[in-house]
Amino acid sequence: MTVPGARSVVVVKKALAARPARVFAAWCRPELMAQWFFPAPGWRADVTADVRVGGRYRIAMHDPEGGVHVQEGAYRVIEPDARLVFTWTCEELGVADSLVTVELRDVGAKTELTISHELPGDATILREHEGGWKGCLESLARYLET
Amino acid sequence: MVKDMLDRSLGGTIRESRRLDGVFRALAHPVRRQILSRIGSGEKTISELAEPFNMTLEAVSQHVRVLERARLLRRTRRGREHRCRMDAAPLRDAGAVLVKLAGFWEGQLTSLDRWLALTPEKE
Repeated sequence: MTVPGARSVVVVKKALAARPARVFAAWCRPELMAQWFFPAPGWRADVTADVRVGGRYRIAMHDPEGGVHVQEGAYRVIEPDARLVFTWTCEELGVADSLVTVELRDVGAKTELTISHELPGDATILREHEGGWKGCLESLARYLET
Repeated sequence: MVKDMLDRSLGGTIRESRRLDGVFRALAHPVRRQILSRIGSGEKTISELAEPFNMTLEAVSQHVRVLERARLLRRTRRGREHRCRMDAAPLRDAGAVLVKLAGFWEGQLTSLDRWLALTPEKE
């Protein structure tokens, strides 16, 4: 028996001031990814990406103190200007073979981008918890919108 | 803050990643979730745990072993009686990872937004 319904456990949305084609290129062209795929100014990224279904990517983010933070995986779905699905492993965070879906929606001259990050196992269980462990798990079902 | 988000203390090893997989896998079965929620409110013996289920003691014990391996359940023996209680620490770890992931992606999208604003459109 599995739990019905969506399995995403982390969802982040953002409206971006660019058309989907430009946003999609930013996610799919390694030389462009290297310009933004890090958490803050002062960082930089080394990116290799073989952007085709089954192809692999590796992103090494360098923080200003010289630390390197690696994430890697393989592409599962590539729909130009609309959807990108890839596996995501980051040993540093203790996450292996999770699944990330990036969806782009054209809203006028802007793009509404949604990232859904699904963890291994059926993590939706975290929504139907009950009893004494409820408090521990509240953050797990967190749905974030920005 | 960014350093917090990528806090090395949380992971950094494949072993850590497997441990987290083990927690999610252990939680992926309805019987095991019910067992957990029942021991969440207090210690229970295996036969007490088996009561609401139409299952053999052996089948319940197997679920208990999966929870034990994921370190969500601790078992103590008193003579022939096995008493089970919950250990919530791995659940807190699993929650912390998700909160970190949400923070991570928010950071990336803010960076993308900044890059789009600073980089002139060519085409």
